[in-house]
Amino acid sequence: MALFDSEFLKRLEYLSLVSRRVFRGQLLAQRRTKQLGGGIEFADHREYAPGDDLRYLDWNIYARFGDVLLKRFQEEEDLHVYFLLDASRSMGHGSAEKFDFARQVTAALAYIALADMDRVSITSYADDVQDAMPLTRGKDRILAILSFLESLGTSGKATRLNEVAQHLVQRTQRTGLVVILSDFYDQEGFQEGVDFLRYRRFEPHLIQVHTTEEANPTWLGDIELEEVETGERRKLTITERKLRQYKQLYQEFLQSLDVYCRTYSISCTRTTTDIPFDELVLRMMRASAVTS
Amino acid sequence: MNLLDFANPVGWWWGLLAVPIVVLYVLKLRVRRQPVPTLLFWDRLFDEKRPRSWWQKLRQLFSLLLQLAFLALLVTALVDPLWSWQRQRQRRIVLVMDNSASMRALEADGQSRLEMAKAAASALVRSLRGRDRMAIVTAGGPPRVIIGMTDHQRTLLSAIERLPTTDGPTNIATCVELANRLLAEHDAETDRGAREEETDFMRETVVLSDGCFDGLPELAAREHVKLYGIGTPLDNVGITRYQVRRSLLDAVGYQVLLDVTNFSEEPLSCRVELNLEGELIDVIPLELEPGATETRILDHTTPKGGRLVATLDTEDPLEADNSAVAVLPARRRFPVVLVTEGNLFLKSVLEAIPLVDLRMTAELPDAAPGGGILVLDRKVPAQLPAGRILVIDPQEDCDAWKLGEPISQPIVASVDTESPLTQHVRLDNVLFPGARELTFDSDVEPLIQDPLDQPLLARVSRPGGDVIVLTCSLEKGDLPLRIAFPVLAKNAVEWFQGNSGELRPAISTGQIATLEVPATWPDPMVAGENSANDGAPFDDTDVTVEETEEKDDGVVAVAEDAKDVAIVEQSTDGAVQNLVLWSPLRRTTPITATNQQVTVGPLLETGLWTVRPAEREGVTQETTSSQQATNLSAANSPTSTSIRNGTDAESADADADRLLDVSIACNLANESESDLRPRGELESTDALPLLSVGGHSLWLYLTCLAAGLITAEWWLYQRRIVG
Repeated sequence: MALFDSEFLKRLEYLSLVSRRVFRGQLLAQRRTKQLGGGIEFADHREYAPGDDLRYLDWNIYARFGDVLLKRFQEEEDLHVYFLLDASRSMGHGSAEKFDFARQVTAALAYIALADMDRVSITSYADDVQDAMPLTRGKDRILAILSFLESLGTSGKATRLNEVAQHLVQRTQRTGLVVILSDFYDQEGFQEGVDFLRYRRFEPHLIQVHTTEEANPTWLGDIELEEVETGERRKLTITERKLRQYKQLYQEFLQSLDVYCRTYSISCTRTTTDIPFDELVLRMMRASAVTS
Repeated sequence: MNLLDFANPVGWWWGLLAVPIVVLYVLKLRVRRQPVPTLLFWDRLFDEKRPRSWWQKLRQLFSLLLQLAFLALLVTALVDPLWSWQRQRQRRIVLVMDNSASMRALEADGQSRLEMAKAAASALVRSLRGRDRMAIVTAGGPPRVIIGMTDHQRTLLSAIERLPTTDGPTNIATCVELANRLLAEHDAETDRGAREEETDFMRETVVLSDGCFDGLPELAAREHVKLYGIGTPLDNVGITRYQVRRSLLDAVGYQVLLDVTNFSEEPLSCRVELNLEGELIDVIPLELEPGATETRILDHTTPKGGRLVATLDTEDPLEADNSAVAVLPARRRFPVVLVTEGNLFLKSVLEAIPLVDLRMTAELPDAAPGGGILVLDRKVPAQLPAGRILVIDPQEDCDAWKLGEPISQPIVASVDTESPLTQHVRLDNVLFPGARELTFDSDVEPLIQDPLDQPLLARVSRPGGDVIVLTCSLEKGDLPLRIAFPVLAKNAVEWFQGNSGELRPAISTGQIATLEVPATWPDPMVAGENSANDGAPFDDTDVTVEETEEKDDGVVAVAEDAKDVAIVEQSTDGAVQNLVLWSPLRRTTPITATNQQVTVGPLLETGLWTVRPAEREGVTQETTSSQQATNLSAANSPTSTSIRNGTDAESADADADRLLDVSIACNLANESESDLRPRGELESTDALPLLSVGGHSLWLYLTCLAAGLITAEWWLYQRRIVG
């Protein structure tokens, strides 16, 4: 069964309709960028500096208070949506591959963005950028995106989000929304990469994908664990107590992800692979409607 | 130490279990591999335990070594190694178990001394090694070898468990002699074909007793004899002597001899109740000083017979001596036929004698009444009829004597004071007017004679029954007015009946008794009808001696342990009767009587032992099997319950049946057994020569330890503390 079949396309279309009817004005391109410029919607004032266009001076303020302030307007422009898709080997692990799930979610979100006349770029990464699809626009580009996603595979010997973030920042000319789909099993920590994006005025959105087996393993006894990315092995004796400790540690990891996102007002979605991708997207839409 | 031999060398094969243990260990080292998306969390989890990593590396090897060590322990326990000193010093033990009456005493914890001794003996048996052997001898009553030299522990334990309680006396000294003989015989058997080093046994006689017997210090000093005490000194009061007999002076009187002893350090008040067949006869209050014996001789009168039971009303540790039983012979009424034309003196005298059923007639009968006496006044037939006859003033000749001339001076010159017929008779200045010379044809015993040695009162012996003849006219003299006359009449009647002072002695447990049995056992139905009228016992002296045929068809079902009840001595010649001996606990033993005598014993149960004919028991055996739990009085009537219906009929038959039996009372009556205080210092059973603590061999504890450690290792493995 192909990853993106006609049934998948139907569900994409359904999601697109739902997003327009229910969340009009609250999604992607219909949201305003935070870019200030020559728009018509007032944003705020700033001190006048020599060389500024005198047309934007607020004469009323000057008349009342004698302060020379310049009116700033929010510039209306298309939203750039960058998808960073984790294609490390850890994403390909498990009976229900996280990578397939992540590609489906990526496709769904990309379709919605394209339908709203946003620009979409997809980058798959592991220890470095594996493959990238440049910015594209228009609903008719969905097939190209699907084709691109379908051609991707897991590879690499590590996960380094920091390097990929730097690469993205260097490569792109405009900031925008960065949707990161990953399990965030970054050997060196994912926070540095996300922070880098934040510092560069990108708006990150994290989608953490994991399997139930990863959260609740059932192995007991003597076992040799092999990490699929690095190939490192550990001979361990897993007891019931250790299992309980592992589950607690994993929950702490997920909670640390939430705490991190809340701290920096980053939207975050955690999901397992055992729910349909469209349900996840709808859940994200509802969450967005509540928070925005 | 040199390891010479193993009790169970086959056990080494269990060592092969090490192979699968090692194989499983190797298989365990080949752990399965599990790919995971990241080791981040696992590393963080196990990095916390990094300081113990050296243990993690060694723990699997340690686990293997632990398992192999446990296996080695188990295999060692299985082969049961015998060190040189053990092999050369194998034990040969004769265990003397005291199951006498005093061992039935209950200790403070409610456990009897015999049960405590059994527990100690079982511990000793369980401590035996493979080459040790033991025999068990009981010391209650005659020494008995319960089980010979064997090393089969299960058999020994079973024998100890089934060891019977007895009321017999302690017989430790004889048992020790028997034990020595057993050890000597075993040595002789072993010497034949045995290697030299195998004959160096450790011989010992272990006695488990409460020490309630005399000669304890001498016994304890003997070589190879080890005495161990059971129980604690206990206070007790008991009946130490109890007998009953018919009075010598009174036909219906009886005397009871009773001894009650207080075997304690405190004075005691108690009562003794006497019951004759359930009917209360007397209550005797007693005040007993410490160690004192109260002796009472009690006189009572009754023609009835039966079981006379004395019961102490105290509660003490030993019940066997709190009651005693004796057989009181019954006195039955007997017929006396007076043939006279009318003699008031004679009639009055005979009527005044107890138990006499007097019938007067003027016609001479053909024979004396059965079981009774014929009294002839003046009239004498030419041919005296058979039976016991008293003739007063004979006026005619007969086949026993010829009448002569009247005696001119019928003065009493001499009286045979030795004869029971003339005892207590004073005939000073008494004339026997009308006396005539008598010439006897057969043996005669003159009892009263005149100065010319002419018999005035004589006893004539003859095959058909003795005759007493008094030549004196009662109407002419003053003899009827003298006290001597009723005394003479009473002496004659009681001599004819022959049961004056009858004694059926009660024996003590452990003694042997010889019983007289009737040659012919009458039908119980008839006997029941007779006895229901007068309560008289069956009198074997009335029975005509007949030729008794040996009966082989009297099939009797006997309990398996019947041979434990009594040892019966039997002779092989003479007239033989097949009989059954019933114990107080309703156990039966077939016995054989020869020449109307049977010797039974030693009797080891207190109570009433009865002898019955085998053919009767064979008929009623089906019914008795369902009645074994009943008490003695009910159990004595198995025949009647199978024949008749109705309570009255059963009761009558029960009496009849009991009366038909020949019984003997058996009581403890043993001061040595009733005194529950040991006669010397005894070692506690805690010092029994067990091979290990708790009464088991060391290998058993090793096995338990190994099993416990294996369980711990399994738990540690499940907890992943060891690999």
